[in-house]
Amino acid sequence: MNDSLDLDRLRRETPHCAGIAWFAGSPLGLVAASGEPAAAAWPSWDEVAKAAPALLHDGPVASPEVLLRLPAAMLLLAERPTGVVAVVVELTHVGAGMAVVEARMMASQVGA
Amino acid sequence: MKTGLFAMFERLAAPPPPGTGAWRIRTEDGRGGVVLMEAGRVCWAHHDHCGRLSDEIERRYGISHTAIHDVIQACRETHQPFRTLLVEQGYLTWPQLASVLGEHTCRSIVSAARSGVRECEWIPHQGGGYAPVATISLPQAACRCVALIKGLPAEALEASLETMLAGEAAGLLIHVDSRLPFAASAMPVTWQELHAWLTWVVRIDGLCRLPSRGYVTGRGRGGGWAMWRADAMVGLAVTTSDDAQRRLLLRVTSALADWTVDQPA
Repeated sequence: MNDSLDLDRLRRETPHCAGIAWFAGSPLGLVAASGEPAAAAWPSWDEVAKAAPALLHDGPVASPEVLLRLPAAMLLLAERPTGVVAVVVELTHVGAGMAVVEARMMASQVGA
Repeated sequence: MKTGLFAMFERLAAPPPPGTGAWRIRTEDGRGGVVLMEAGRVCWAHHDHCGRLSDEIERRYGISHTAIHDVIQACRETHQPFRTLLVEQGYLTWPQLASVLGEHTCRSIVSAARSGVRECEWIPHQGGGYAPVATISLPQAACRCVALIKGLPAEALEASLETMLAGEAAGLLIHVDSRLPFAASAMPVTWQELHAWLTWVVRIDGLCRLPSRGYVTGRGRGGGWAMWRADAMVGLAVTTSDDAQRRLLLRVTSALADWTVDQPA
């Protein structure tokens, strides 16, 4: 199970990660987080929780993984059996491709 | 408009199968019109307030009324479709024909919608169908009508959209501030998809406003989607295979910085 300490450790181990969060429940709510989605489109994790179901489930094709490319960050939303993990990787020192790899590696360690 | 454009398209979108025939329209001012359809796609439309197709052909391509009259005579003698003969006799190319037909059709539909549609009756075609060349989907027609009303070049908007879709994804170009679709892909989009995708894009824009030149993408079982933004214009592409999705994402990531699209004032 994830707790805030797990997420803190994960974030420390990934230098370009600006934030990571774990959401669960219906409606989707924040369970634990480390860092902030400040470099992404949302001011808070609660805003991520509101948008995640629409992005993951309600689009033209239901998608267990959604990538959001912003000028300064890449945000990954990944659906897990018991919730959703969000990872924000800053793009100041890493390219978009590497950011996706880092985000996927981090996400794979949460909620699996 | 007395009757909304989209309300009119809702009606046009439901022709009885096989969807080949004519919608005979009567507007509030007593004028008549017609929308010809082939297998659910729009062939041609006319409304009494709209100019004649031959006038439009003369204006755009400089083909005289005398020449057009000769083609019409030949049509009567040989029972060949007017449009086919225009091309076969070298007056127009197929792309020119498609362009002038599309514009005339959309002007006619806008004219009918502005006059207010009072009656809209379906007349099934008794023969084998109309000439299916240069038909457009209903979503394409609706988007072109929106572009026409807003004074934007519909064909240029479709071309901008297709630079991302490359003919292997369905999609839309949506102006999120006005919540209107301005272009639909050559790959067919159904009327229901137009409605659902438009609603979803506007909803996502409210939940997570993409910055200009940003994109968001999702991949599911056998395909996926990508949504990108330039100023207030949002593109949406939907694929139905993993390979097409990979190529779509490559195009979006490599072309988005320089992608150009007309914007409404």
